[in-house]
Amino acid sequence: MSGLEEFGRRVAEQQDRLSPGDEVIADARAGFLAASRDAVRRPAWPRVVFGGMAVGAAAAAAMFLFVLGGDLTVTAADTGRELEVGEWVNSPEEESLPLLFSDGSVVELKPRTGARVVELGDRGARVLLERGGARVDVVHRDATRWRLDVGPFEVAVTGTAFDVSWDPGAQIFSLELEEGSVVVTGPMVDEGRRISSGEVITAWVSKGRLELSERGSGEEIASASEAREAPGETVVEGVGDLAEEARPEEPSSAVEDPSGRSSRAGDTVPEKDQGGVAMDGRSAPAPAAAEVEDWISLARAARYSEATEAARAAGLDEVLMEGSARDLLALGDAARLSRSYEEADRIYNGVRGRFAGTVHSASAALALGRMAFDQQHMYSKAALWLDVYVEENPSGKLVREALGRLVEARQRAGDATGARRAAMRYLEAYPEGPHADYARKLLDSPGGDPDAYTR
Amino acid sequence: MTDVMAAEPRGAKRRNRECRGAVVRPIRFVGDDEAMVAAIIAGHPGASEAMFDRYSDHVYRVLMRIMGFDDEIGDLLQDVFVEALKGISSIREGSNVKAWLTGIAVHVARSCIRRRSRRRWLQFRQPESVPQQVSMDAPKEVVEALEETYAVLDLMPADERIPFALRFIQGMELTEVARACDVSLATVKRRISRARTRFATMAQRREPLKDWIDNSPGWRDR
Repeated sequence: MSGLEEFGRRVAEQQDRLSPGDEVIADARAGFLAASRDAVRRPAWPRVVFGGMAVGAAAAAAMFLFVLGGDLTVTAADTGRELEVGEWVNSPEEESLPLLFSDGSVVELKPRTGARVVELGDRGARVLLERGGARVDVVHRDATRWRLDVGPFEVAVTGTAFDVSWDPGAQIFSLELEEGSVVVTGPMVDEGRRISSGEVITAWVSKGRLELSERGSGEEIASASEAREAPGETVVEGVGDLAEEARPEEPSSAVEDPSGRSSRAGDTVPEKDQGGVAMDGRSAPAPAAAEVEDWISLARAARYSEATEAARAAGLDEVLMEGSARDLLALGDAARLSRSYEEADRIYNGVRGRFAGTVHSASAALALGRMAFDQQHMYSKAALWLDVYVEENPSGKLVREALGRLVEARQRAGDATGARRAAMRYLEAYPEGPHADYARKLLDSPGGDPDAYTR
Repeated sequence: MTDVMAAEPRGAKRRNRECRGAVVRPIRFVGDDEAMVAAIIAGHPGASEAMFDRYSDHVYRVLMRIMGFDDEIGDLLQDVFVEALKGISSIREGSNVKAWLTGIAVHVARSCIRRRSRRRWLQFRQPESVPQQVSMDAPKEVVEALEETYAVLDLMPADERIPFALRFIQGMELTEVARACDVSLATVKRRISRARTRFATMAQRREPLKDWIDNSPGWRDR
């Protein structure tokens, strides 16, 4: 017998022991017999009248509900405390934290997840998942309006159950749908993509790669590269936010997968030994080109530490001279995610120097801003770089995110005036954006208290 | 199909009713479930009573497992049998009446949970204010543990709470749970899996449940 079965048996045993069952059953019996006699005696016409009254009552109740409205409330399961709109919530290191909504919906934050409920309405809520993962169970009702902002993606939900995650460092979005359907909008899925029960969508934003597969089957339905081969397939073809902004004439030194398919990170990692084998069986020294290929392949395969190490081995100066902007941005991400911040800084700044005035340069500024914000917690520096990104690429796909982060970065840096200015700018551009409520609260808070909405 | 009427049933005196000085003895129905259903459809006055007497204990327990000690449970029990009477003609020949009533009980309980959820939504009533019904001489720690168990279940969606209660508290087989909830076996497995994770996560944070959890071997190996 499992622990839960034993626990349940104990509950049942105590219920049976303490229950006033006989009295309750006797009362119910009397009520039931009276009701059944009435049902037999009742002539047909009152049913019609009662039916009409029931319809009328239902309509009145619906009108009552509509007029009264009433926004959802949300409580954190660990403390039972009701959360405020805009409040920052962090789940513990090793435990999940369910957020319980008054309509019965549950957003269970997985360990080490940061999120905030940015909107509570009468028909749903809007939750901003800034990092980590969540299990989402939305109770379906008529006209349910639930939204999740997950990194640069928006997930529109009716009634459904799914797992979603966002890694802001690696810029990987993943959604696995168990029941119902959702619509995902964001980079590579600008027009929105409906995800049905049993499907998994994964997007490597910085690599411009998106995959759709069957849940649990391990079989890929389609990928961006397949979509190129077979137009009209299930994947909306596109490139990622950073790569998307690359100039089309920019050649990429990326190594093509021999299979011609792109795939999940780690699935098609090229053999590490790219250098060939000498006649006597000993490894031959790898030529420079192979070394370049190696760090690129490793970076693309999300093997961050190895990619950074390979670039170091090949000589960072040389790599910075030879790599394409796209590959160098991927290498910068690899260094950042393997906590080699010095190298990451050098690589991103290298991109800015070599590709100054291009979207790559702006993307490097954004990456520097993200690194300062997420990994280094240097908020003044983050604000500086986020500002640079917005100035250099005002129509970039990630401007909304950058402006939202800018509000937070300035606020956390203690720059109340700057934060208020950024909040006004954000609201002007994105009055319905995921940071809108946060920005409004900031503007409404007395003296722009930098800690008022941050935990 | 057997259909036997007994003029002087056991316990009939208790239910005798006086009418203008005469004693009216309801005719008690005696027969198997199939005959009972046929008799209810035919309007036999003792047949619906027989259905209540045969299955009220079971239905009461199912409701109690789902709802806990709750002042509305008597009303819900009555509702289940009223709904059963309304839908009696839809029962298929050879159907298991007990399982059919379990399904109705689940439906009635689910409607109640959702109704309360809507009330909470409008903030008319907080979950703590839901009245509870329990024997007065019950040990405090047991009452608290039961209350906490259902406080956790109150926080779960109805579609998870119900299969969880039926599987782990009522001890029903998965196929029975699936049938009662009118969903596929795969769906009920998924819901129970989610529910057990959710319940375990929340229950472990509740002090009154600590002893019960600690004394349930394998809880942490779930």
